[in-house]
Amino acid sequence: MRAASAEEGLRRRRRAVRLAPYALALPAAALAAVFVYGVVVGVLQGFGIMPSLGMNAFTFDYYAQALARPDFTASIGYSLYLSAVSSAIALAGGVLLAWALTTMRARTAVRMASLQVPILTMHALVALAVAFLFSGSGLVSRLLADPAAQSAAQSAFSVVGDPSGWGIVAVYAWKEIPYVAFCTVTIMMHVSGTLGEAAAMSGASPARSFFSVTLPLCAPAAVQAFVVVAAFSFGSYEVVYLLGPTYPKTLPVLAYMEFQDPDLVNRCYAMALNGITTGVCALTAAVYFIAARVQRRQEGSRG
Amino acid sequence: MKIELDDIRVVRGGRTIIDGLGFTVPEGAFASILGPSGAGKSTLLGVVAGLLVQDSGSVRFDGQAVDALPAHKRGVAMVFQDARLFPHMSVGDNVAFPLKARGVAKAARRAEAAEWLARVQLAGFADRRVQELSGGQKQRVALARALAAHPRALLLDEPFSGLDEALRDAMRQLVRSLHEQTGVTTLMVTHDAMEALVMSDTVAYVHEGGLAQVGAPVDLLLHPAAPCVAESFGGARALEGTVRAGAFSRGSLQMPAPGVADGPAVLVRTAAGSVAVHAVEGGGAHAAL
Amino acid sequence: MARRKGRGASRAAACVLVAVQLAIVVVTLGVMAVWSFADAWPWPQLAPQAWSLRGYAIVFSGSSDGWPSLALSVGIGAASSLVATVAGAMGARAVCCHEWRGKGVFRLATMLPFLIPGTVFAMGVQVAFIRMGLARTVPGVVLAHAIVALPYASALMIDVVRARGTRLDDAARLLGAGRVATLFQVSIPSLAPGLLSALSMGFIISCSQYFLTLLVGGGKVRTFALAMFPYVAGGDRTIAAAYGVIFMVVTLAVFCVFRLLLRRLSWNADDAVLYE
Repeated sequence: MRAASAEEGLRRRRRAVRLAPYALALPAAALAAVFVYGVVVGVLQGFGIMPSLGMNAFTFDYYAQALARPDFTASIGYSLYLSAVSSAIALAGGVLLAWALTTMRARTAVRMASLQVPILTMHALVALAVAFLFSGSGLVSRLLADPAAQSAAQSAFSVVGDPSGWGIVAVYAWKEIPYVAFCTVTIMMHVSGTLGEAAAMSGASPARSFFSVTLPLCAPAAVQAFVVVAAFSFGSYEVVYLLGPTYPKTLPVLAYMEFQDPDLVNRCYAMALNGITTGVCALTAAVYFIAARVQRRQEGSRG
Repeated sequence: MKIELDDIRVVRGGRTIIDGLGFTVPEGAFASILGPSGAGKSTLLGVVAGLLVQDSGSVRFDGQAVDALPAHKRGVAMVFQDARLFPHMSVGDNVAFPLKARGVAKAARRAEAAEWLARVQLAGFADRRVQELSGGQKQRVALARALAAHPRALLLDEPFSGLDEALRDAMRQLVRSLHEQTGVTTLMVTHDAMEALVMSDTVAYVHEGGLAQVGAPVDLLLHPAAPCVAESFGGARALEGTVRAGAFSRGSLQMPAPGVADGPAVLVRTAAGSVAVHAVEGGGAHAAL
Repeated sequence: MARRKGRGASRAAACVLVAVQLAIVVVTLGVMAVWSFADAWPWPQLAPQAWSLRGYAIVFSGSSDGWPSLALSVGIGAASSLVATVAGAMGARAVCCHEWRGKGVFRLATMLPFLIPGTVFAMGVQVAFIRMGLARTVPGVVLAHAIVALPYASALMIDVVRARGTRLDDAARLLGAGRVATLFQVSIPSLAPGLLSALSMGFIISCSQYFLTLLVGGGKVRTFALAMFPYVAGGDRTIAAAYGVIFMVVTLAVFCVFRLLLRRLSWNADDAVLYE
């Protein structure tokens, strides 16, 4: 009798312990589930499935329409170009900035000011400041004292609406170089202090120990940050809205314009465009998780 | 409180860490779980404490099965290898923590905490911050804190491993004397054979998840039931103690040493594997057993 | 000898780079600050001709929504960062201290808002939100902001919890403290630095959301970002700059307060490194 109830008690406790992590994960899982639900519903709408309008047939029509748009190629090309250029600049600049902070053994205050402040700043405000500085009537063109140069600058310096999008790239660079640096600097300082020293002890030059020891170990973190920046800049709307040209528009802007169409059926079309955006971002997500797994394996071996 | 372990099995990640282990710790006894690292000793203690759930088997306190009870309802307290003092509280608040958990009023808590600190020879440390303490002091606070919980059993998980040799002896004596003062059933995990020998009333030797031998320290020393038990008492260390009226004693280890003169003596393992007691000064006579 | 010179040269280069970065940050924000106080700054003057507080006056006057939107942003920021931090902390505990099936999927799912634009989510979930009565409401916006802040909170707390483990909690349980007592007297104080970092990050993320708030709140939930954006998009530069300066001041103030609290609460020396 006693043995039976002891076993029963043990079984109950084992079950409680087994279920505990699921209960703990519930709130975050709920939030993530809402997010996934929203994205999935959106993607399905792109395939023509909108139960609220009685549309239940799976179709590729809207995607075909989206891809057939005359400005589609220009739009996705522009989005990819902006995203690729800004993330590449962010990666190179960020790693370089992290190296600089590590090499000069920057104090906390310096790290805060150079990294945290840009990270805290809203993208829209950076766009505003870039306009203040580089627009036709901006500070930079005013600084060029020579009137001839000034008038040339006024016409050449059109950061708002310039098709090359260099103003947009400038905003992303301002924001994302510190972000990549932030993600990398902690590891770099740690590695540089411990393993870097070891490499120096064994006779390696600072350059050699940086490239063959420090950089590879920081690579996963840097790649993760790069992927986040790429995905963000690809799907971002605000900066392009503020500084982008009338043509070509990026994919998210296109999608939002169609989304605002009063005809609800047009929503499927908008979501097809969004679906393409999501697809590109999902690819970058895959790269992120591979980098994360590499990092975890590294952490395991570094112990 | 009598502690009974009955056929405990623990499997983690496909590996059987503890396989059908069982023994009894009588009321008020000081028991040691001895064995090499990785043998499953700490896991066993975790099962007794309620931190880990066993896959089968039963833990009984005074005959009552406690398997359904979570750790905080079992009435046991534990001292860990790394002290685990709460860094955001003062020393006094740390010791008073279990009293607070039981709803004791503030003034009474502080008074009792001060008492326990005095008992571990840290009188007046109540207002110090945890970060200021040395390793030995931290362990003493941990000990005071565990005892302030008025536990039915005290569990110690290799409490002296983190301390240097000189401190360890003083700490062992402290623990032993507290045990004698309070009479609380104590279960200690250690990999140091001499430590187990000297401090315990009963020793359970755990090897690869199973029980190799259990009994009084003398029995393990003189009549090892398995080669692993015999080997663990080997090594160059000699145990110092005293001989009185033909019996060698050190701590709670007592064994007959006929023919050895009274006074300081050492216990050594001979090359042949047997145990001998030699008097330290002059004497000359020794007994081999 | 050559190596030491090389090292000295690279240190000098490093200092220059960091100085350039600092200069860029200062100039960018400085220009915005100057514009916020400029009444008239016609081309091609190098300095404003007239200074005034016109911008700030308009922001805080009745016509421009300044105070209510700031209060709303603070409220929504506090609520959404709290939700995200609690969810992230609990999830981190599950990930770090237990073995369970679905752990990998869970970690993946909590990172998704990082990588898929929140606006895609907002557009897709709009119908459901309307049906649930969350569209154009503050709770709906709080939920959306919490979702966007979740990856940050989750990543941060996983780092913290992995470093701490359940050591102190186990010790507390074995001294007779029940679940609630352990949580409030031991777990939360020992995780405080991580919790504070996640809270401040979540708050700032929430304040920075424009498009997401617009989509979910339908323009009815007017946060500070919503009030500010039209001016930034075109129109009076002075007012836009004033909004910008106020935004920066508020976010920097929150950040500094949290850092001060963090320093006060760092029980261990290695904490500071974790929360850079």
